[in-house]
Amino acid sequence: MVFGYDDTLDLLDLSDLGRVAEPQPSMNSTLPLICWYPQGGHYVNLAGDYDYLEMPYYLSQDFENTGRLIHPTPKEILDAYITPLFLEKAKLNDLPVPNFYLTNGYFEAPVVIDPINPYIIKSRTVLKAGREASTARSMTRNHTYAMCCQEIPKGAKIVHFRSVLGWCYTKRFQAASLAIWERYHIPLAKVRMFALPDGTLLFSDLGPLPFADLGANERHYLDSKVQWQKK
Amino acid sequence: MAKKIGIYVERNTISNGDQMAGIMRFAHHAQRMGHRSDFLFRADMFKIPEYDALFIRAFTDPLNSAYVAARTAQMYGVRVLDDPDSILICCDKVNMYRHLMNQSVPIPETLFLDETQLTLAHAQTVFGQLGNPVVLKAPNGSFSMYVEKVENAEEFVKVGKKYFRRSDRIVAQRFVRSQFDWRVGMLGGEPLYVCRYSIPKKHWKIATYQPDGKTIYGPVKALSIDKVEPKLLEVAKKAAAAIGNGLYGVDLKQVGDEYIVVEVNDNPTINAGEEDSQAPELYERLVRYLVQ
Repeated sequence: MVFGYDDTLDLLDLSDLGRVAEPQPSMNSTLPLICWYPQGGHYVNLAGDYDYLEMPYYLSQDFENTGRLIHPTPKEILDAYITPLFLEKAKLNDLPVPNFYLTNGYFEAPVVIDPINPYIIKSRTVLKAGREASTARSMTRNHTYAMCCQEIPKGAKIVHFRSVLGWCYTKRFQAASLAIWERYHIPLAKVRMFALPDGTLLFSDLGPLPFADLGANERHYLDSKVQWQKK
Repeated sequence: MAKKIGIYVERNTISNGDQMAGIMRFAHHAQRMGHRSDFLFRADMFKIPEYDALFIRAFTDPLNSAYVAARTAQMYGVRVLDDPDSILICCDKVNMYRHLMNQSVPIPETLFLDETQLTLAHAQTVFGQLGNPVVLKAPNGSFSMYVEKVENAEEFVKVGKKYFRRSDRIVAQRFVRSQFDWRVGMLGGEPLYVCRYSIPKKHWKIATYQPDGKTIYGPVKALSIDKVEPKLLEVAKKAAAAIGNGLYGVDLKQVGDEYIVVEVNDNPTINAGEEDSQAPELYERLVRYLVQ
């Protein structure tokens, strides 16, 4: 499967997001944000930030343990949020990904590094050689934990988009957004891609997109797709 | 037919001599049964799809790389111990106790708390319901870490606050006193080995972490499966079945003639000379399970 974009358009990065849709005042964060998705015949957890053992994760777990079909499930959350699993799942679903490997320390620039440990969340991009050793030490807590390195192809740019129930405000990411919802079942996500000079998009990572950060267009789209109470 | 078995290890596994010796015995048995076994490290993760089976001997928390190994194996149809579904349940005590409760497995009376319940007033409600002392557990502790006994409301709030930094739910449980814990190793729904983990004198759990960094363990005594009470094995079977069909270490306490389950662990310890000492077929059964 090839995911392309119109290279006559400017690439979208996170700084553009404010333009796409103005963030609205957040909903009461104590609300569970679980709604019914009639098209799929299941519940959907729209918290948007599903970190392991945090309340939105537990809400999905509660639904699953009581036999109610919900997405994302705890397993789907980990498949999406743990970068090497995200990439393996993409490969198995014929979605293009960059070359990647796991390491305790050794890597070669240029790469994007994602930590695999409970204490570090942020990824790091290393474009030039020279600071590999210190970067590896810091990303692995002195080589205790692993990290996932994705090789950045020559001429590639790192781009992001916001995926809302398989929809994206920016047309060039529509197909990729639909793939995220259909294959990963993550309703709200910020997705990182590598955009190659020939227009190909490679799936790279998926992160939280809290409901409170959605813009008016995105909420409007959600309202057209979900029921906040099962009818 | 000869199968390729990968043994996924990490450096914490290698640094433990008894555990490593257990793994070497497993590898030896696999070869004797006509299979090939290779050690796989983190950097070898990409090789997992080439194997027929994967035996994980590493710390399996879902945020660590051993979970990546387990889930990768499952994605590629490679038979794996521990399977990621069991890891997801056992590594989160909230999920684990919920599974046990759903199948009516006898456990100490248990409550799940969220942060809004971490108040002096609510502490009294919890003591009223569970008695005093109460055991608080963070959901993602292992080897008796992040398990503490609290005896008053102030301690309840202090310990709870510490644990809520690790997760949005914690476990409160009735305290059950005992001199030892039973550990029944279970594989594919059947008992694999039985041990008694003694609780060190002046302590209340099998491993106690001292402020100076030392850990105090009690002695381990293995028993033959046919020499223990059938009721112990029945309860262990029921607990394992509530989780899945893999390899588990079921911890139980004996109260009079009854047995109650205090925990079900994935990736249970298998140390040479301890867990295997009264279970002569332990390694063969593990190999058979993986290659079937």
